[in-house]
Amino acid sequence: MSRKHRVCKQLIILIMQRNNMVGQNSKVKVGLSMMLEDDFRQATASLFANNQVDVIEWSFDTCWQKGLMPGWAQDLLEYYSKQDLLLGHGVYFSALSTYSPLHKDWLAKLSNEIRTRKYIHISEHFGFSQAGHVLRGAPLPVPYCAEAVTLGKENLRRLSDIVNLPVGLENLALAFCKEDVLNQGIFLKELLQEINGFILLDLHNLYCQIQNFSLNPETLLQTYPLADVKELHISGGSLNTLGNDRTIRRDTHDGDAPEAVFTLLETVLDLCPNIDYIILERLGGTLNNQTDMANFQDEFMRIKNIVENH
Amino acid sequence: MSELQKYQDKLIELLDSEKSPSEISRQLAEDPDCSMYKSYIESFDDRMIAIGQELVKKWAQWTERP
Repeated sequence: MSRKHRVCKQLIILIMQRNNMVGQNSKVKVGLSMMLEDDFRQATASLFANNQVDVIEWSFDTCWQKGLMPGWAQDLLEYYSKQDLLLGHGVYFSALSTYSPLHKDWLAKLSNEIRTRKYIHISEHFGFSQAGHVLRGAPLPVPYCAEAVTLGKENLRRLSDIVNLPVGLENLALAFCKEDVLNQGIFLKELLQEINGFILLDLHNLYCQIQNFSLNPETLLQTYPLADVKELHISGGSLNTLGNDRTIRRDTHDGDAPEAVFTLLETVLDLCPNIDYIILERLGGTLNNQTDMANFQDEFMRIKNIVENH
Repeated sequence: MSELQKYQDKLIELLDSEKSPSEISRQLAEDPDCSMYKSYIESFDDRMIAIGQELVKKWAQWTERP
């Protein structure tokens, strides 16, 4: 066992010994999207050590191909799973693609995954990423039409039947047109209705659309079934400069969360009565220095303070 | 193969190409297999198609390229 792993294992044991009641007193649990990179470990060590992380979200299918993960990450996932404080967030299901052997294989792996670890719920992404010769990738928008709704419902039913847990979908940042933006709320509602599913509302994804399509935040929020929102994502991103000096907001998870996302958080906490979890996301490998790490910690604590004072 | 699947297959192939966003939406709108989505496609924002191209090039894992 490496020295790093020994230190991390000791940290986990310390957390276990200090408090077995992580997060149980908070109505809304605030947590982190688990990453395997060392910068994430460094940036979050004090948050875990000080018992600030109520819940972890884990993108389980990102590791199915890679296999081994660092021991410290394994220990954290195991601990939070045993405490019933682990959320599952898939990336590669492609809920709005035609059902294929790839889906069948993914569902079989998920069935195995939930036998290995205990999850509170399973969420996935709105959109499609499998098509043609593409096995997997980033989700892309789908036209709001009867065929897409039927296909998506069937796929979500298959997912729901496998896991026997609450199932949710996360809103997508990318939209090819304003119609995609304004239909996404009702599209999600129809997809999730029959399985009594929930919406994972990513506030930075909403912010990207607000910026890129010059929308009023409250107007956009009202297109969503806000009572169905049980989880929030908070993250940052980046700006792409295209030709003619037009900038596009991108959901790249590699920057600090903009102030506007915290404003959205306050608004959404007022409008959404059923939020259980808020997860801060940052891609591993993007916390490049002590300043980045300190900012990330500050963001996390700011979310906690907002929730506690709301 | 369903209309939606034909559209998705065509879209992802075009997003992987070096064609301009406006050329992508033009070809997609004119494709007989995508006729059901013509007016939807014609409302596409070129900037967003460019982002789609970037995402496919960066993240897509292929069985084989066409």
